[in-house]
Amino acid sequence: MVTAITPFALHISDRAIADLHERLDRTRWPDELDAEPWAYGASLAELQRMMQHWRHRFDWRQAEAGINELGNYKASINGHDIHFIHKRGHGPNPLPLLICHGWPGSFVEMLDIIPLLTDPARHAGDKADCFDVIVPSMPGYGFSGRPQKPGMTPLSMAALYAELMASLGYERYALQGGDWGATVTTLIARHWPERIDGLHLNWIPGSYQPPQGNGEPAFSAAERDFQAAMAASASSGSSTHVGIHASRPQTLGYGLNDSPVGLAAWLIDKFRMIADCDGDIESAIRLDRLLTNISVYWFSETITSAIRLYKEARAQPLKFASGERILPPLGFAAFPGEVAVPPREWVERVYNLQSWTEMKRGGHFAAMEQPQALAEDIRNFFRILRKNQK
Amino acid sequence: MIEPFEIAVEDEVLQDLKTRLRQTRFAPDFGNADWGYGTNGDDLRELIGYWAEGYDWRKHESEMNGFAHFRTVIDEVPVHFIHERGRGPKPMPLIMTHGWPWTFWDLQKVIRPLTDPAAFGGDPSDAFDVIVPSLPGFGFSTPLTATGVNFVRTADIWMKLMQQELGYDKFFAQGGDFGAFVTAQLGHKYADSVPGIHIHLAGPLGMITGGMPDDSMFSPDEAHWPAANALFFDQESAYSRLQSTKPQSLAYGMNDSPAGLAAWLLEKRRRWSDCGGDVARRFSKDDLLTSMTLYWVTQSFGTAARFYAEARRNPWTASHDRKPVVQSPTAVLLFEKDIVKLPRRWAEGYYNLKRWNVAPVGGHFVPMEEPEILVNDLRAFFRERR
Repeated sequence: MVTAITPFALHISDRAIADLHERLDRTRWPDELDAEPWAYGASLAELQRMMQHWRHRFDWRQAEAGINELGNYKASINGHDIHFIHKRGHGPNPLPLLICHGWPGSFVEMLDIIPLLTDPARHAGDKADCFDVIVPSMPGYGFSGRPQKPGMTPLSMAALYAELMASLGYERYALQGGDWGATVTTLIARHWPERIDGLHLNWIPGSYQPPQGNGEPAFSAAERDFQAAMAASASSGSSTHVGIHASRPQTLGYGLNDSPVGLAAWLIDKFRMIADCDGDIESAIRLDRLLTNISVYWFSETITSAIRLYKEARAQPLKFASGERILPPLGFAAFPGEVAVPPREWVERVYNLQSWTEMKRGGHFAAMEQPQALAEDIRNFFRILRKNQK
Repeated sequence: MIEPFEIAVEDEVLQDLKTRLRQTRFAPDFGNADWGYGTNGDDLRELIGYWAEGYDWRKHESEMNGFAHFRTVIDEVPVHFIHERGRGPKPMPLIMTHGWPWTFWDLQKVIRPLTDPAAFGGDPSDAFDVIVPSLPGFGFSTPLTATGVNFVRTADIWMKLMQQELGYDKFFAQGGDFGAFVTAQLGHKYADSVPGIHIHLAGPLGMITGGMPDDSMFSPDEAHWPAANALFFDQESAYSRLQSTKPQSLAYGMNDSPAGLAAWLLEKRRRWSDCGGDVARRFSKDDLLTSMTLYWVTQSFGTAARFYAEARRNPWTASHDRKPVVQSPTAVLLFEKDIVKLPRRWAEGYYNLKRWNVAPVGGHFVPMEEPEILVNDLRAFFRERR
């Protein structure tokens, strides 16, 4: 039950900012080893440079003002505080679009893409393609409340978001997501298909398990290769964070909540690994945007509640019964720098795949790395659906 | 060039530690009374409170300085070690190697009973010259600035330490955790110089890069071990995958936040010891904090964690193809509550196995948890090999 929706203005106290600066100033750096930078994790020299920027040049107040311009709200839903951005579209018939972020991102991932979708006429598009955009912070992330008891799974989040959308008066709407956002939006489409006009994803959830046996076609060579690639990535450095997040997140969280540099190293290493950036993260995502995202984790003290999601979700993989399908149409944007892009037939086993775009550039953080290209693909996909509905 | 070494942490380092502890920004915790999500917040706060306000490092530092410490540099790697001479008719040299997340000080309770058995109700003919080094990148074997120093290279360094620097042509070796790998490597590569090894963790030297014995090798007595091993690998081994791949990304937080460091280490002490969930049954707060303070003041968390990455990046290769792989006469002493236990049948083929015992109590931190069982088993085994 939604009891109240109130406007929310983000304001971090001067004291919290001073404390961050003080902690950055007294950082105790570990030794530099004679090794190729980033080989063992975040590079000391690179991290020091970025932290200098965070301390001396990054302007939180400016970032905060930008966030506040977008229209922020808090809703209380079944006892959970949910922060969300709600930006109305400029155009004749805006389609409501719920966009869900992931980890190590936050609602900050969507800051660039929101205007491209709400006001396409001002961004090389057609006003007929405009959306009402709703971007919530996941419970335990950003300025949504931290859950106070275990069990905040992606499905619980999906149910909260479905209530949020209903309370905003949207009987039908569209969905978009990557990373955990792909899991949450997939679950909304699975459980409330009658409310969903369409689903646009730039990532197929890692826990997605299509049905096997019972007359389902055997896996193709490409599907078997993909499964092998995912398994290999699970045992390599690119996803070892999943193991610790999904087993003992709290143990890791104390250091990251107490040391801004520790937090930044953990997050930046992850961004760099799975963005399409050839090792230079700032070529894909500008530093101020990365630091806005990290600052949100720092000021809201949510790193621990955020990574606990991996453990909560572990008990509920996206497993499908034989014959089960997700009914709303799916548009998929395949980014070349993504951790692994599944073959179409893998996706089609469960999803109602209607559109598949091979993107030119970009990796896991599509909305941050390639907001224009992602926005165009979202507009194109839903333009067809809007037409079909008329 | 060996130099005597005294531990003397600067006042300002201790003061800075205290300041940081008092300013800890604790991550909120909930629904975690059983430590299922990791380190429990209330227990951590209590420990951190005592670290800041009650714990006296100087007292423990002076106990450490009651032993003879030295430092040297071998193959450009700084090496700290305790070297205590035995009291008895013919002390045999014994090098004892600790593991992660231990320090040399985990051996504190066994050194004197081994150097001076008579003073502890034993037989002076069982005396050893005891050498307890800090692993490269751990404790006072810092700063480590070279990559590639894994347990194999550590064994080479220990050979040089024992033979060239200390003049012991033949010596015994003992260890647990990573120390068991260093020790077994000595028994593999340098069996002619090492007439006996004693380990309390058994495993193939290539274990980190793959290859565990088949479940069919477990005897009926050991039938419950494979499930316990599997549970450990499923629930408790993410730290190892992380430290094997991205230790440096973790190190920034751990080197900057003593509470973060304590949370990481405390969880292991609690989960891996035979304490039934009450870490105080095996470690006093002072025991825990002395170990944590050693990691903190030497800024060694990152290089210690890298020991995993070095093991993974530099896979073990055999120095010869003789069988058994470990040629030195070997004693294996396992503890029921240790984290990974391999079958005797496998050990019989892998080591030149002369002694095999399983203690019904005790966990991973053997020299701290069950020093007497360890000392008695060591003496009995090496007595036959003198």
